Amino acid sequence: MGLLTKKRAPAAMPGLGLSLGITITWLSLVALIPLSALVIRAGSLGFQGWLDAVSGERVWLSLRLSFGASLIAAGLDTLAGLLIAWVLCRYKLPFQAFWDVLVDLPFALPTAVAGIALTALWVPDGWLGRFAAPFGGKIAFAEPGVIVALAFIGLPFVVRTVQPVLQSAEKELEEAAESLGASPVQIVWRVVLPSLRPALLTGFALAFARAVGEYGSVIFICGNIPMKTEITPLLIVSRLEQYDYAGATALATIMLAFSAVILTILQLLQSGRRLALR
Amino acid sequence: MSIEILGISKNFGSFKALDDVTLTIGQGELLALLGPSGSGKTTLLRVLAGLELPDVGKVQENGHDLTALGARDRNVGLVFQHFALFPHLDVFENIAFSLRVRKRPPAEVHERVEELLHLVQLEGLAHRRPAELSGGQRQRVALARALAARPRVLLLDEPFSALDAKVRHELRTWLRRLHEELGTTTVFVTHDQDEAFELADRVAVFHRGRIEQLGTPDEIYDTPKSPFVLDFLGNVQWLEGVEKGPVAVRHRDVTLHVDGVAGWPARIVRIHRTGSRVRVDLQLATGQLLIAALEPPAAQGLFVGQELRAVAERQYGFGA
Repeated sequence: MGLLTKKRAPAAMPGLGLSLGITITWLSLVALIPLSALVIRAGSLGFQGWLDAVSGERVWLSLRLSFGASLIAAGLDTLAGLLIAWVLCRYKLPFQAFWDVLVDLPFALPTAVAGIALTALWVPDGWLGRFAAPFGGKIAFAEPGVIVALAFIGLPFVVRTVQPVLQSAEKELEEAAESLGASPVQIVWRVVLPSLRPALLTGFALAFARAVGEYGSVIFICGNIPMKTEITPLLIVSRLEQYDYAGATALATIMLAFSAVILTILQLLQSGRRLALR
Repeated sequence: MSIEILGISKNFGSFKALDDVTLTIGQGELLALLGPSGSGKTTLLRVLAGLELPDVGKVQENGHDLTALGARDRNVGLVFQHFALFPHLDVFENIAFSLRVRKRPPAEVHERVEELLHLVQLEGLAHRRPAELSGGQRQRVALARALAARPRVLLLDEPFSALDAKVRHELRTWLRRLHEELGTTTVFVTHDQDEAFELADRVAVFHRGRIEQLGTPDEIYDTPKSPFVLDFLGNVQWLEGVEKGPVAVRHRDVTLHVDGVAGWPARIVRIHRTGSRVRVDLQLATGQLLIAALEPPAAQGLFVGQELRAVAERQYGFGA
């Protein structure tokens, strides 16, 4: 059975036509039309021109950094976000509200401010950077700096998707597992984490999507060394500054395609279990 | 193997959930903990399961202290009111859970789960998810899961209250048969007296954290020890001024006599059928309402407005 027919089933809901119309119009205005315009604009280059614009080692390396760092950052966010959501939900902390608000702060901060703050922290003689320096580790003005910035801005997505699921989790399931002889570790692995799986995947996808598109904070911390710490959004901006609009949009189409593929895979992973049931 | 509960008290803040409860559960017994919500019956079940630590008192098994043992190490089978099946696991893996966490060899797990699927009559549904089962099927999976590791006691918390009446009745009968077959010591919590009486060997009636009365269904029904027990069993009413002091009369103990001289003068105000009996509402000379639940033949020929005499074949006074 297809998912579509499943979703269309409750047609008895009043105002379906109207709400569907508004949804499609809105999605078209904010997403579909701008994105189509992007593809059309890139199309003005012709296929060969487009190919030239998106090939070359510098483009390839920037894409690798952008997507690689975003995946790693989203992965780190998923681990840290799960832990933070767990602690916020399961323990009574002093100043609970304060910690809770702190999670959202990366949302509110202008990303440039975040970039400047993180750079100050992670330069070799910064508060945190000095601990990495003795091991030859360079964080700011190097690839790890990109990951640090992306992990920072992506964290709230994971915490905020996992937290409500964890909060509404049935205590009885854990008690059942305990009385069936499961150890605390087994309860977490066999009962709690599987129930969080969809939320974790969603959080990962959101953090990843946000990281791929991030620009403001990264350009401050990574040093923007071509072929080394240059992310694709930066390459796009530098093309724009050279009035190479078509070249910039060509790059954007590549990013768009990559993001679409990865997000689709995540979506499939999430619905995979549901589909397997049918 | 008997389980002794010795002087257990448990407070939640200022609320006394259990107040010095002592009770011995015999090997192979089917015991019902009956009472209204908040009477402490569920708390006692959780203490037995090791999910709740009593403030005072001990739980022993054949003189061996279990009080400090956590739920994980007690090996009790626990069945929840809302089933608490693992939604991400299919029926097979739900039942296998206790064996998997004990790292039993796969062949043994398979054999045991097949055996249990047969026992709870769900052979064809091994690979369904809980969400795809009916309420009755879910509860049977929960029971099979609880039995998988051969627990020393089976504990059921309001096991049938989330099910509709027909399924509830079927499952009761089935559980009674299952208990006779397996002989596992079983304790179940319920607020439904019919359920307690139909299933249990003995019933403990709870009130405000204490056991108000403990006995066989017959003992409790025929000789309720307190007004609370009598009231809780239901279909009873209290009358003032017809005898010395207040008395309680069960609806089914009232008989009506058209030409009698003994009994209380009464007038019929309403007659209607309630399932297997006919309910007659009567107004007594004192102005109080008396209800008689008659066998249909005994109600033949009665009419609203009729003056007659009502006799309570049995009255409960509690020394008042």
